Amino acid sequence: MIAVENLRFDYPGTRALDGISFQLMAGSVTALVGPNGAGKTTLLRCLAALDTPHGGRILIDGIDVNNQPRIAHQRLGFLPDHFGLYGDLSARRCLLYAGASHGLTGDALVARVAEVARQVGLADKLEATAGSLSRGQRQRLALAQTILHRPKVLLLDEPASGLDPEARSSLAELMRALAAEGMTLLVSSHILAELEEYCSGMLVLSHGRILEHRAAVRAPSPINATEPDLRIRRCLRIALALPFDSQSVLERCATVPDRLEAIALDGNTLTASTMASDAELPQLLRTLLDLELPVCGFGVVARSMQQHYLAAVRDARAP
Amino acid sequence: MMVRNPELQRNLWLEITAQRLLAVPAIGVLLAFAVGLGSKDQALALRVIGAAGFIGLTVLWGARLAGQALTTEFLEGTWDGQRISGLSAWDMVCGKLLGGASFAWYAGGWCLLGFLGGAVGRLGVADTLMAVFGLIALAVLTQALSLLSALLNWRKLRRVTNTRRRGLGILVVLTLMPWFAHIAELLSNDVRYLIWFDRLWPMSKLLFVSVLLFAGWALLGAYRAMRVELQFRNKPWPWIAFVVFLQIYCAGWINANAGQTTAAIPYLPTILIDTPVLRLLLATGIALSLAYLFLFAEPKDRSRFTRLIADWRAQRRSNVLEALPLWLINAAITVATAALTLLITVTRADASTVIQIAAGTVAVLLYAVRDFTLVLWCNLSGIQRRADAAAAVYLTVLYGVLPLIFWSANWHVLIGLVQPYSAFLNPVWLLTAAIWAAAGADFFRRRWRHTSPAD
Repeated sequence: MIAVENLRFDYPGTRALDGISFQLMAGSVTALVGPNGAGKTTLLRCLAALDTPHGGRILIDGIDVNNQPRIAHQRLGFLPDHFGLYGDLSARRCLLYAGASHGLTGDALVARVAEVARQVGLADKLEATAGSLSRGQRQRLALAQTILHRPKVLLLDEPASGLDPEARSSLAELMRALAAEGMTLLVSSHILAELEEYCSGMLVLSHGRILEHRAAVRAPSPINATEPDLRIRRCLRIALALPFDSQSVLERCATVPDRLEAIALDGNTLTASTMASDAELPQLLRTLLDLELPVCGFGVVARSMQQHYLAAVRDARAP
Repeated sequence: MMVRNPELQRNLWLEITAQRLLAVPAIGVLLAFAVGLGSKDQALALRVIGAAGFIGLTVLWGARLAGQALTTEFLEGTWDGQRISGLSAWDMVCGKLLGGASFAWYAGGWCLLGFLGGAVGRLGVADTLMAVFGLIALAVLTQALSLLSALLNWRKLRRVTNTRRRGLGILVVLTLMPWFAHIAELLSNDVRYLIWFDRLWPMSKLLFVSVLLFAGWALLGAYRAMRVELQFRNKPWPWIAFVVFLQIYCAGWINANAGQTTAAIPYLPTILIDTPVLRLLLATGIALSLAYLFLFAEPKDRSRFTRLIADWRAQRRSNVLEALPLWLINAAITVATAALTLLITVTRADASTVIQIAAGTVAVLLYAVRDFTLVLWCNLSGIQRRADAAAAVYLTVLYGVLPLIFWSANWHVLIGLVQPYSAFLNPVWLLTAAIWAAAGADFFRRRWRHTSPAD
């Protein structure tokens, strides 16, 4: 859904984005994280065709953003960190304006406004002026404006900034609902714990470069599946009972390449990465036991987004 | 009920309230009543108050409101939302001009009604209509200029929350000055004439057509600047057409009875020459002035030039045309007009005059090369706003302070070292101009290489 190739962007005297390339699958929710000044907002603005990059290529839903920015605009929604609301207009008028400016008219516009207001929990606040709403409500109103025209890609810059815990929880719920509708979300935030609740991938940016991209990938879907099954690669740690033949263990593990990758043996601990979901882990364990591996411990290494982020930043700083 | 243009509708929601709708006619009726009581010539008083009211409310205040319609978006952070909406550039321009200044238009409409009330039976239908539509065109002109100025300012100082528009007030006053003369003529029933391209024209008609044309250009300018903001790409042809129009329009004010010397053009030393060459010299000066103006008005960061050069090398001609900065286009027009000037001079003047005009014109162009490279040199160094200010200081010293020192010290001959006009009288000074240009180009080249990022 989003494909970026060798993206470069310069501010006078500074290279803000330095040859960035990545792809995001349709329906994925990706956290865009990095220290201040890493280039997150610049990246989002380039993706939203608000700033023109100085090199590289961006495709949104197959549309080249540099060559056809106005068509790209129809397919995306961008929520800046400052929301961008007309404080003197009522919430209803804010939404009517946002819808009309994206080409919705008449009854379809009125119906869509009501639908989105319900979706973001503002149905009872439509007559209040935007300026009189609480920060959480304004944030939801801004999000409602952004999704009114049913964009395929939603770019959010620090959406949870300044929100209280209740509003953040409500926002996370909304994000999950939007992803379930099939929208592709790229969310920039410093609050990693909150991102963890709904993100299926992570893009770590520092000094205009990608430090790590833990991408969600599409798992083989059952024939009757209606929604994409997006997963993130995880690390498995398998403890083996001594004694065992290392060579033989590795060879037997290699016979399950669709489930285990990057297999390594350190002492009696086998580590490997897997795309298996929680529901598929028992079957994977059964397969390993059927291969007569002396498994005495089996588990997913729980590593939070925060840990991944810090590890990526630490690795980047290492000489 | 929704207006078809969402931007206009939004502005109407914000600007037009029942209280405002009622207050304006009420105040208008009170004013008319006061005029009726206190004036001997009530019709004239109504015309004066109507015209003055429209100029004050719609032309001046409306211009402020039209600019504010945009600067408020920048300050409140809603501009990006508008830029990625599906609104067309034309919808945006109309919405902001008619909507942002909707109350000024509403109040001005009542003033025009008052003017019409005072004109019935006193002025001819043609004169009345010309005055009314002229005033409306004048309001469109000032408002479109205000919007254009806000757009250009934002484009240059993006992400710097600075919405002051320097020079706009001067521009508006300059625009209005001839129109005030016309209003005075209209009120006094005194028909005046102006000479343009050696012909007598009734002032009212010439000003009416002028304001209509300039309003059209200002609207086109605002539309094109808005297109750039909405990420559309503009070809340079309309801009070139405008510069040529401006050259022809201004050249018309140099007439055969102007004395046929270059003294008719500011700064130039007196050389006997005929009218067509004078007109072309002025046209060259206009293109050059616009080049200087836009050199300071446009962003000049290195990345834009890098992209332009990359497109040029890759022979993406369409991209090059779309990305050409206006100052560079104006510089090209300046060179073309200067070449035409020299060609015409050769056919119409003796050899010594040709040498004088050629040396002077080339010297001016060489000094322009120095000045442009100086401004770009400053801009390659850091923050653009400070770079332009630094360049302006350097140019002030070169063109103002140094000649003043030489003049005060009675070293008149040295003035030729720092300004190009001496070359009109003595072609030897062309050498100084060439040295300046070469030095400027070399400085620029060195800084360009020095600041190249490692790709």
